[in-house]
Amino acid sequence: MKKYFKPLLTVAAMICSFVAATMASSACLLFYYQPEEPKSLQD
Amino acid sequence: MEKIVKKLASAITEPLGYDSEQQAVVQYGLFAIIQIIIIGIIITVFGLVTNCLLECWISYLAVAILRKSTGGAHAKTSNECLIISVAVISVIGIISHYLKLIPYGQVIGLALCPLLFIISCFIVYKKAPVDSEKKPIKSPKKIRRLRIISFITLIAYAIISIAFIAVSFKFEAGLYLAVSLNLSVFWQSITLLIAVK
Repeated sequence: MKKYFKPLLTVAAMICSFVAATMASSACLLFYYQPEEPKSLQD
Repeated sequence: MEKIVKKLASAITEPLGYDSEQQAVVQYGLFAIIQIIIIGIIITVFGLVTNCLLECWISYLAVAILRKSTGGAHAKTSNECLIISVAVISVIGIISHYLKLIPYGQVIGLALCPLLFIISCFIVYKKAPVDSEKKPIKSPKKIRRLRIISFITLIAYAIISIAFIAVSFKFEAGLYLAVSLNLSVFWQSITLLIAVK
C-alpha cells in the first residue's frame, strides 16, 4: 500500500494542477467565489 | 471550506516536496474541484427531493459553463458562494419545473425563452468578460478570446433551447428544460451587471 502512496499523490497533484491551469485561462472559477490566484498562473 | 482545502493541499504536496508556489497551484485546483463536487451533490439531492433533477442540472451546467468565459459577481466567502449557488440553481429548477402549474404556463414559457435570451445576449455583449480584484484580466488578447468563447457558448445554448422547444411539441417537459436554460443564462448575465471590482 505504501508503495502506491506517492504515485497516487503525484496523480492527485497533477489533476489539481491541470484544473488550476484550466481555471486560470478562464474569466473566473465556475461558481460565486474567487480565491486569490497563484502568481505563477497570472497573466 | 478554504481551511479544509488548504489542509488537503498540504497533505498532497508535502510528501512530494513541493514548494509554496506549487502548493498554491494545487490548492487552487483542489478548491475548484471540491466546489464543483459539493455544489453538484447538493443540487442532485435537492433535485431528487423536489422532483426537478433535470432542470437543476441544466441550470448548474449552464451557469458554470457560461461563467467560465463571462466572469461575474463573486461572494465574499466560499460558504456564501455555496449558499448563493445552491439557492439560485434550486430556485431556477423549481420555477422551470413547476411553471406548468401556473395558468398559461406553456405560453409564458414560450414567450420567456427568447425574451430572456435576447436580453442576456445584449448584457454579455456589453459587459463580458467581467474580472474581479482577485483575478484581474488585463491582456487584450485574453479579453478577446473570452468574448469569443462567450458568444460561442450563447450560440450553443440557443441551438439547445430551440431543440428543447421543438421537442416540447411532443413532450411538454422540453419547454421547461428550455426555460431552465434561459433563466440560467439570464441570471448569469445579471451577475455581470452586479459585479463590483
